[in-house]
Amino acid sequence: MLTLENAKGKVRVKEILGGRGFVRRLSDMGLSPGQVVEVLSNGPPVVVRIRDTKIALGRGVARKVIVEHAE
Amino acid sequence: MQNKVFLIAQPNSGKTTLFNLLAHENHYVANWPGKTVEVFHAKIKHHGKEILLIDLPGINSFKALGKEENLTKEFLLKEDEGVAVVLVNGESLYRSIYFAVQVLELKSRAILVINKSDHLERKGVHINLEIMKDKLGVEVVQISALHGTGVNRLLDRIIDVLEGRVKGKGFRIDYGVLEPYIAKAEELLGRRGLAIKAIEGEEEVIALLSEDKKSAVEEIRKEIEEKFANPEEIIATHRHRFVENLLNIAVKEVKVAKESFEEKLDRIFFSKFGALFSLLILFGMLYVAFTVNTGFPMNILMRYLGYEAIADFLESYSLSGIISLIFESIAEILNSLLPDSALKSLLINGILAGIGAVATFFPLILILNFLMSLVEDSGVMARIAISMDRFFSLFGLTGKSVFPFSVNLACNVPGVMASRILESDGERLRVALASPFLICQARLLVIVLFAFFFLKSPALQSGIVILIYLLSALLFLTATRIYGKAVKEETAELLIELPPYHFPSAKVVWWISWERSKSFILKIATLLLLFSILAWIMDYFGFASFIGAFIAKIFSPLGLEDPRLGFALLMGFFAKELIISSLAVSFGTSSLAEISSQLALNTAQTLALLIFIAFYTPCIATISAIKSEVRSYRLITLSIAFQLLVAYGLALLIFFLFSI
Repeated sequence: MLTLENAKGKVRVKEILGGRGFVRRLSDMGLSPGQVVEVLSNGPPVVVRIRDTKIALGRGVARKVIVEHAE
Repeated sequence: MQNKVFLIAQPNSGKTTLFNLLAHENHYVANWPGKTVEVFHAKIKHHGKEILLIDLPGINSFKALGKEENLTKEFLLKEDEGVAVVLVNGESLYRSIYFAVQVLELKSRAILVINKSDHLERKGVHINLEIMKDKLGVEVVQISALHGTGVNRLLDRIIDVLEGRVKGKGFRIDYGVLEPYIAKAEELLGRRGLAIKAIEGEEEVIALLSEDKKSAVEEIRKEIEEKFANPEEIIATHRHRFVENLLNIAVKEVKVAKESFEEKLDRIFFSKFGALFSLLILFGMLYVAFTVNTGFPMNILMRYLGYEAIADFLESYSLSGIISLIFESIAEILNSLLPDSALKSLLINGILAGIGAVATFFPLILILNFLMSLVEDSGVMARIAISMDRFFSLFGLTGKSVFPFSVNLACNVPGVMASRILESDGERLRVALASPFLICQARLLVIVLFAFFFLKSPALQSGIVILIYLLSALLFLTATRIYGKAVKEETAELLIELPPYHFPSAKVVWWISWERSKSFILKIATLLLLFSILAWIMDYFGFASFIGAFIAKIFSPLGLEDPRLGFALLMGFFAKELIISSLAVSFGTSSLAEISSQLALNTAQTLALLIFIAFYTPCIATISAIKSEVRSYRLITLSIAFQLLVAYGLALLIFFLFSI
């Protein structure tokens, strides 16, 4: 299973595992299912670009974001 | 349903995006009461509270005419109902704040929402929400409806306003010469907002009035016209001036760095050497703070090189040196002016000493806050946090903890305050509570002096200082783990946005550092003063020697039985520097060498004493700072007890190790 922890290049968010509060917090930062993000650094922490903002996620958070290769 | 929330905005402000985001597709169309106009409604729930969200048609200005737009206008003119959420378009701040201000004149239960914060950030536009809030008298929230950022905070604020937890202090623009006329019109119409609109000649408002009131308003308008100018123009001028002034003081636009520059710098921060690079920046930060505040380490270096005069000069003309000099002279003047009495002693040794302590602290706090905000505002802070995250995550902390960590090495008070930058509540508490284990500059001085005068071998002198530093880092990191159990959050995960780099703006840096330093004066200084008076009472009424003897008894397993030492340790609870001055007073000499020979401690005892001094509660100011951060008597008591216990336990351990 591909998660943000080990993804490279452009990926699409499939699912975010975790409680409602956690999912909401991520979506507050622009990370939600369907969104295409670009992984800039695998760190940890993982750095991704979403549209024109960059966010950094600790390993534990990145592990909960399931993604698939875009295109 | 009572909890009505109305969305009001000019077209293209992102209102529909926000509505859809909040509504989660639960919206439905309903007719506006008594009208054939359809309006979107949505029932939403936030923290168990039901809210009926109503999306009012976009309206460009109050001069609007269409049927739909009239409906929005009608809502604005009605008696207060629900909460008005006024959306401001971040892409055209001036135009939309000019509009929002008119809404706020009519609606006191309102929230101002600045949308498109993503756009603002990209363009390097900073908005001081505190100033906005202060000038507009309502809560101000910044969001990006497109990205969904800040929306939870907006919902929290909406609930606060609905439940009456925040009350706007009322918003008013001063209309100068028109004020007496507005007051007159207010008597006729009942509300200031309506009075202003009536004087502006707003037909809908005038239409609400009875015939004789109508002519009274007409009378007022005519008088203004004759005496001054067109009332509508006068009002518009004042309003424009208000908005201009507001944007001038609350908004700062800076130039952001080019994308290519950002990529290059980010590549360094995200590389293997990122952590080293970050440490260099932090080291530079501390170096500047130390040198400006106390001359350290330049004074030590100069002294070492034999330039005594320069070293003395650096010390006495450093900020804290100058301030303590001022307070010493005030004390001297008061001493010679006033007759001897208990009151005089309280004034000089209690109150003045307390204020002096606050004043000598303040420059260091301001400097550190200033340097922190430089790093924060330039976008560098987020990168440093990323590069340090790998190390701190070993202890369940995020890389952002490196900031409170390093500030703590200078002074625990701003160090504890720096824990505020941490995102999660748990991490903030854990770091604030564990902060005292990190050795601050004042404690370093005491430890170095003791080591120098009480220990014979240079190897032992430097060895114990290094050991204390290593131990302090270890204790801090372990303590954050242990406190994690007390606050029920044992690991924090990094989740931060990376703003674009830009050259820090003086205005924004000043906003941040002043805001934080101010809270030191307001929250911590008063407590500090209180404790200073308490210390005076203990001393003046002779409790001190009694407590000193009691403390000495506790330390008898270590062979530290001198009550004068016990008393000095008690004073060290208030501030570590006081240990030395207290010893000087009770031994009747300021020579530490002399005190050392009188106390006649052996190596094991000296090392135990040093370890204890290093790790027990650093000072009252720090305890006050932690208290104001954690706001829990349980946690603060727990942390004090834990520190005393750890310090005593370690002292005992090293005593037995060196006694064998």
